[in-house]
Amino acid sequence: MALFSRRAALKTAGGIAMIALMSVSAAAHHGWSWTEDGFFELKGTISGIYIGNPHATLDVDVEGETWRVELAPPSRTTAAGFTEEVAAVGDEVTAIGNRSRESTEPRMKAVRIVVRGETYDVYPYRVPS
Amino acid sequence: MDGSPLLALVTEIERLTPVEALKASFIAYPLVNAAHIFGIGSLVTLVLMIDLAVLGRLPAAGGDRAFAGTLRRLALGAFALALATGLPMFAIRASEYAFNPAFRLKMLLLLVAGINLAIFALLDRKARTEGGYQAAAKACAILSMALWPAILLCGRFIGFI
Repeated sequence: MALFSRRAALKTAGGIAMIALMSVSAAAHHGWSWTEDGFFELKGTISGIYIGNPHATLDVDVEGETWRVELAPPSRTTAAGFTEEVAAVGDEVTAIGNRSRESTEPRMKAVRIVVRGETYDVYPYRVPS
Repeated sequence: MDGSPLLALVTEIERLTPVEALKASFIAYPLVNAAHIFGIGSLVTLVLMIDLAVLGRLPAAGGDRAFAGTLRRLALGAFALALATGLPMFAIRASEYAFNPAFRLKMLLLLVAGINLAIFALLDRKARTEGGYQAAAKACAILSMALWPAILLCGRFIGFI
């Protein structure tokens, strides 16, 4: 009887863990699970730059809608050459990467950004060939 | 709470020199982050043990109030660590987190958990003279067992919303 109840408890715990994992991965903005597989290009005007922990982001104005473009952690982003000195609010930007699977959500994760004619590959191993 | 006074305050916080340093740091941020996880993990574990002891479901406690008291001091230490590491992480992007729904829910639940703890402390004082926990004290323990894991979940969702 003791064995049976322990097994039942393990099953319940496993079930709860599964549900938790599924709900987390569905909403995850870390990693790539929340993005579409195909590459996506966004062109707009920078309305905000954040280079810091836990990861860098750009806010990009596209015809009045503000997109959140997620970049890499600050160490990786600055190693790619993208720092607060090379871009400013008002600059035109092209971001290439993967957009959110949720079609209504103006959010993407960039692997490459182009500002002032310079190209910065924040995730070089993921850049489309 | 939303509107310019809060935004002005959180923007000031972001400009503090040590906050700017943590924002750009390579090693410090992951260390603070890890310490926060350690604090929360310890806290939630201790809280669940205390609550089980109050409910009489922790055989090792033997129905001894002193056991729960000892663990409570450790839990307060773990909370202090979580607070000391959580505040600087909040500060680096305060203007973002202050308006994050998961963060706001977490703060609300923390407030409820604090009130729940205060009520429990009052009931615990009575339990000292009466020798056992009343039903109300046990209800506080059950609520606590739901609140703290919920606070942990809200915290995790800050980065995903």
